[in-house]
Amino acid sequence: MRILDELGEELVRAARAAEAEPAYAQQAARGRRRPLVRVPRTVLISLASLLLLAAAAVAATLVIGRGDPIPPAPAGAVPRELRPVPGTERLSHLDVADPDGGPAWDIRISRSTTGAVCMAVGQLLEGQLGIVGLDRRFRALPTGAADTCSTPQRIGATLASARAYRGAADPSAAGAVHDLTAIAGVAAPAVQRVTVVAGGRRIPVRLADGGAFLALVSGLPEQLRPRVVLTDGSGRATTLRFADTGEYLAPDPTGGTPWTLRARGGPPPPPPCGTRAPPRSPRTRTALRHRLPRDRPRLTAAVPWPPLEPADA
Amino acid sequence: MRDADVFATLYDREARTVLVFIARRTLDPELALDLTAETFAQAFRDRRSFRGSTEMEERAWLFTIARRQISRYHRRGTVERRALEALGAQMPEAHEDDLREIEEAAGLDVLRATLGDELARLNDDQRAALQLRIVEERSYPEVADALGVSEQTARARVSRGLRALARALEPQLATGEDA
Repeated sequence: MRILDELGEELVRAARAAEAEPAYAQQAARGRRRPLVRVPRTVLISLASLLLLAAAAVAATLVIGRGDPIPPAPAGAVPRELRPVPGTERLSHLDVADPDGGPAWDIRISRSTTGAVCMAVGQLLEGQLGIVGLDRRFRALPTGAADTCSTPQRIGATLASARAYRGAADPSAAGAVHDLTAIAGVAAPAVQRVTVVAGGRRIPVRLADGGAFLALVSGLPEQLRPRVVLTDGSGRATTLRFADTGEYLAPDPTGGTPWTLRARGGPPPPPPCGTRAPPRSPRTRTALRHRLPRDRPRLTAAVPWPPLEPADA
Repeated sequence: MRDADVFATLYDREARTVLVFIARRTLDPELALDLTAETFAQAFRDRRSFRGSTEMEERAWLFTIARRQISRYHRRGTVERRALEALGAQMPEAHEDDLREIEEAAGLDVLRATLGDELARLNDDQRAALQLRIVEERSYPEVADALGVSEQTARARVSRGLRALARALEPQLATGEDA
């Protein structure tokens, strides 16, 4: 079985590497190191929590500034299906860490006037959902707006999207930016497990109350070709694919852009078959669309580009 | 011989059996793959705790780890990857063909059909109790409330229903273990 062979190769490779590493062997032999001074665990946890809170507050104040909130679209420009009812919004508390060290990401779920489920993806700062721009300023998203809405589904997902963002990788490195894809959605109530596969890597994601899920992956959707596998209690899996070209993706061992593998046949013998996806033009605009059969809702993944430009740039 | 070499031999000999064993108890090929990976990663991590000397003892030890993985999954509803992550191993991507192959190897279609037949054979009370407790994951007080019975009766119905299903499926699950 191909997958078992691959798994075996990976496990044995990791086992050999672990065995060759002295630290691993020593740790295995000695067990965990005990602290020299025993402090009650509750005290340690409280201290650690206080320190973390203080650090987060200082970091947020020092690094992330605040810009004007993003204004909502004019009421007449938004159809009823995409208009959340005020007061129905609630955060999912997914708290997915931002790869650039910014505020954590979350999903805000609400109900539209037509009974549809709506979601908005963004970063959380002081209880507000918004987005940190390339200028490292946080701008709150309008509360009465959503990225997308759909009628609730009994199987698979009610909503799913893959959206690209450009982030400032490190505020100290001037001009350093990197691409980020947020794979987000709202699973049907029957779904018990969600796995995101992006760039050849499998990422199990947490399901929040209400079915929201979110994964952040470095790279662009067309490089990562993400897919979401939603499995219900009976083991039935529904797979949603974005930007799928059918090519095989292999993760880059150094954590960079995944490798695209293409099969080639016939003489002369094929050269080494790994190629990297070409770098993407910064001004390219991408629109992805995932279409389901007619009796299912249409899921769209709009990828705005660039997602946010600094207001004063 | 180094530990990793012994581990490689163990994997080659037992991986398929463990995968089928787990798949027949979870009815989910992808989940079975995850739990198989974690089972072997734990086996490598805990290799020094193995006290046996024969292949049979090795297999029994491995299945004990696999069983623990399954029950932990059922208890928590999530797949643990602690050993896999500690080992620094990554899960390879499973394609639809792979999952289909696991389904066939484990005979999941037949097993699902049998489970459906056995569920249909339960009396209405037990089936309703199982539906509420197992499928909808409601608490026992909620199950009792929905069925209009005491909590003790609700518990008894779920327990009897599960025992009846276990008895009916036992021969098939035993086949999976011997695969």
